Amino acid sequence: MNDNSTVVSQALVLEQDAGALQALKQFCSENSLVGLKANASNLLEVLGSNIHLGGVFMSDEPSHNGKSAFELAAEIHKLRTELPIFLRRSSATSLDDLPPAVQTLFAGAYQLTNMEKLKQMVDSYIFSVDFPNDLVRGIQELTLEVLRGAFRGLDASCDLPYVVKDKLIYGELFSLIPLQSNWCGGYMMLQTNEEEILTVIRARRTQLGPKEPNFRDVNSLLSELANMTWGAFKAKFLTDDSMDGMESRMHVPIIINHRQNFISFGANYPQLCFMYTLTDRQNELKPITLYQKLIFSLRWRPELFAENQQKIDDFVNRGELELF
Amino acid sequence: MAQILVVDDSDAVRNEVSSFLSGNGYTVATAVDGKDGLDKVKANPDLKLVFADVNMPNMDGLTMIEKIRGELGNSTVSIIMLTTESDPKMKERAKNYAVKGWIVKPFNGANVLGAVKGLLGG
Repeated sequence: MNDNSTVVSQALVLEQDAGALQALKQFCSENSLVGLKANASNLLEVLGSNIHLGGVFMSDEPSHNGKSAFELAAEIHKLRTELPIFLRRSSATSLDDLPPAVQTLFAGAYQLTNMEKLKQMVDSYIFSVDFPNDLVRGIQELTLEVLRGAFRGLDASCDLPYVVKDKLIYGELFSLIPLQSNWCGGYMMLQTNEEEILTVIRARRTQLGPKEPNFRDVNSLLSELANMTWGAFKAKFLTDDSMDGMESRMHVPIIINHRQNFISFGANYPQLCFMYTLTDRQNELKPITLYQKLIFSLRWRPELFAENQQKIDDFVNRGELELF
Repeated sequence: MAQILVVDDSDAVRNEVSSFLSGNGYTVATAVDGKDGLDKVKANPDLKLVFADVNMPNMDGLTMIEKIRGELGNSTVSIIMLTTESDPKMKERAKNYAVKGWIVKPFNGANVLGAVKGLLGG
């Protein structure tokens, strides 16, 4: 049974063969994958409503609702270039016999008789970063504490965390804050929708005052949630150990394309993603969804993470006045 | 003239803290960053207490309190830090400028009201 530190990934499954589907279902279950079944006719709809995917499984069967497998793969690759596509082949064991332009569409090929090869590809392309259980669990716990403290009368819960290769932005606004330490360097994002937060503010479930709040109040609240989460993250996981001077000066441009709801941190690094749901105990408000994403694109030295945790006294008395 | 100044770049925090304090009978002013806070302390020499965040744009809270004590020569206003930080080195730096106390957010009015009354003599 998974505990709340088990990291999974969502994968699109485009398969028509019953035997292959069964094999993939078992594979997903054994390898922390959540399969989302789709076909050629509903592909765009499924892709549109699932923006936090880790990869795609498909076959080289001759026809997917009138389209060849390679046509379908080309469509997926064009729309979601970041997603590795794993191709099940009925006769060949690799991509070598395919034209170069087709080979570039896929992360690799496998056969049902060699699922170990698929596992190696999935580990390499999706689960390429091993997030320590203490880190994953700790992020969930501290963020839930922040959310529960910020909203009155709302219960906060979190699904299993997952790894995302997509670079799409959820919702209408997000807060972005750097995370820097000797063992990690990157960013944390909190993403949500404006109206959901406005509804909570209007219902006086936050510390914000205005009866007619506007988007600036939403910005302020999300900003403070990010600030509190960042502070708790720092207190729990980061020490004051000095980084190498060059490391601390390393930065790469962040690209945000609003038209495409796309954000890139300059690397093909997986994002660690948590989905939080806030539900009203009085059932007056619709559930609110917040996505938290962490991407350690600048530095990732998990071997130092464990050393760090031994130095940290993570007992912090929040909300109490410490008099000097 | 205000008795208490709340310095934080977050609207939400300024609103929460000032609402609580004014609801308990205190006159409260707010500032949006360290530079704004410094200007307001300078303009209001009768201020009794400052709640100050650390991480703020334009001028951070520790630099602000350093300048309150140094450039402004104000050694009488009481200062309590209200921040997400809990770094012991930051606390030591704050103590050097006679900061009275440190709160790691969230703000819990009930926990600080007694101290506020003591510092403001009422």
